[in-house]
Order: sequence, then structure tokens, then C-alpha cells
Amino acid sequence: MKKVKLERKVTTQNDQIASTNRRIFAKMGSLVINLVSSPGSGKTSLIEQTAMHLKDGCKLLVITGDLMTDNDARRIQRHGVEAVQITTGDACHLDARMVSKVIKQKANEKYDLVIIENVGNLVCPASFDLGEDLKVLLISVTEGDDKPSKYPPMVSASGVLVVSKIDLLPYVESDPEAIISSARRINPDLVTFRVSSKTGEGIDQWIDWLRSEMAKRR
Amino acid sequence: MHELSIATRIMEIVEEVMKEHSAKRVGEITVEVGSLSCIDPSSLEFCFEAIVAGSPLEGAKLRIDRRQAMAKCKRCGREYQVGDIDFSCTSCGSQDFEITSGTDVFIKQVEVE
Repeated sequence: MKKVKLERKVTTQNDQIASTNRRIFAKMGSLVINLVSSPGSGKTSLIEQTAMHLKDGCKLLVITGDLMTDNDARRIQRHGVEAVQITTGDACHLDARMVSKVIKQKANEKYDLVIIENVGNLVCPASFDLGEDLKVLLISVTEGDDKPSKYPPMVSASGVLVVSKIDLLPYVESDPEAIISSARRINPDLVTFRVSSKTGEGIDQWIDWLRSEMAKRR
Repeated sequence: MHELSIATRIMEIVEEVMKEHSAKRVGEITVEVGSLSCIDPSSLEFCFEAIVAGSPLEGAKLRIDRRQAMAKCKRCGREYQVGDIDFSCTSCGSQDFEITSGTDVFIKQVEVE
């Protein structure tokens, strides 16, 4: 048999659709973040806080994914922010095609910030590019400080780490610095925040960072 | 998780190779899977076997080499294989590095006749 040598990267249809999404987002002039975490780390609460701080003066779009219910979209809409729910049925992650269906209808609009709230899962969303600028990884203080070591691909694929629920620190055995240092052993370039969406602690730094990233795209 | 779509793309690429070489049969296909690609080799093998049944690739064997991700140290310049949960430089211990490979899947070789 003839041996044919190749050095061919296997890109999927998802990668192709994600590139198209990226072009649409660029045209919208948006900063696009893909929010990923375990279920229950506080993604929706962080989005609600973000909406409250940014809705005056910034145009926001939230795309939120869950297997069932439109509860999260309704929670976010209460703050006067446009939110679209994607129900994935049985799929454990969002893929580029699902996001594409939403943004194609909005291709001529301008948004300062698009937040894509992924399905709670620290495995599959790591390998599905949605066309975002960066992934923001949330880890709450109740999850165990070694969480980053358990899910290296997601830590490696993310640009930001938000340690959430820090208001619970008096009641749980957790050290946010330990979470951050184990994540930095995998990804030294992570921008990090410590927040409580309940008390508002640390939210200002998070909002300042979003504003500076949005300013780069105007 | 997207082993099926990776398997489908491998099949499409191999079909192109068969066409280029006017081949009728495919032997071994060597694929390199990076440790940060989130691709599980046994699931990939399973998906591949399922989709090639009855296709021109029937009988082809997928050889999957799992490659540990590599990084380049920004302090000492060394390129090294990263650890499983600590990607710091294995020579100087620096935590200032960049990942240079291991996030993708590559087709390295196809046997045809």
C-alpha cells in the first residue's frame, strides 16, 4: 500500500460556522464573551449584575442556553435587557450553529456586549468555538479549590477566571487564591476576578474590565 | 464530545486523498489527537467504525496517537511537554509560557492502494 503523508488539521463544520459568527459579531461591533461553568456556579446571577450596571449607556444582548425552560432568559429580561433563550433539548453544550440562528436575525444591529451563557458543563463547551472573543470561566467557592486541576482543557481555553460566591467564604472551606493559583499553573494569562453577585463585592472591577474591553472594539 | 463530527471530517479528507491517488482501498489512517483537544480516542474510534461501514473506507483502520500538549517557556525558551495538571516549565519552573500544540486533531498519514 502507498503511504500518503499529510499534515492536515481536522477542522469541523462547527469551526466553519464559528468563523462566520465571528465575522457577524465584528460587524456588530460587539465584545462577545462565552460564559462557562459547572451548573449552579452563578452564571445567570453574574449576568443580572452585569445587566444592572451596564444597561444604561450600553446595548446588551444575552443568549442563554439550557436543556429546558426559558427561566434564565426571563430572569435577565426583568432587567430590561434583550435576552434570547436557546433550549438545547438533550445537548450538553451550545454549538456554533445554535448561536448562528440567533445572530443572523440581528446581523444589522449594533451591540456593545454580547454574553453567551453556555449550558452548565466544564467539559464539552471547551471544544465548541461559538465565535466568541473569549471564554469567561466561573468557579464558585463551594466547588472545591482543585476544580481547575480537574478540568485542564477548559482552563486552558479560557481567557478570564471569575471566582464567584465569595460572600459564602465564612461558611465554606475555600481559598480563592488556591483556585486561582491552580488555574494559573495551566493558564498563566488568565485575567482573574473575585466576585459576589449577591453582595456586589468585586463587581466593579469586573464591570471596569468589561468597559475597557468594549472600548477596544468601538 | 464532537468525536462524530471529527470522524466525519476524517472520512471526507480520506475520500479526497483516495480520489487524488485513484485508490480503491484504504489501509491504516494515522491520526494525532492533542491532549487538550477534548477528543476521546476510544469514542473517536467507535464513531469512525460506525460511519465507514458500507462506505469506500470500509475496512480502513484508524490508528490514534494521543500527543501530550507542548508549551514554550517565555523565560528560558525551552519547548516542553506539559504535565497533566501543571503546565509550568519543566526546566526552570516558570509559569510564563504559551501552549504551542495539543489543542487540535491532525491526519498524519493515509495508506491507500
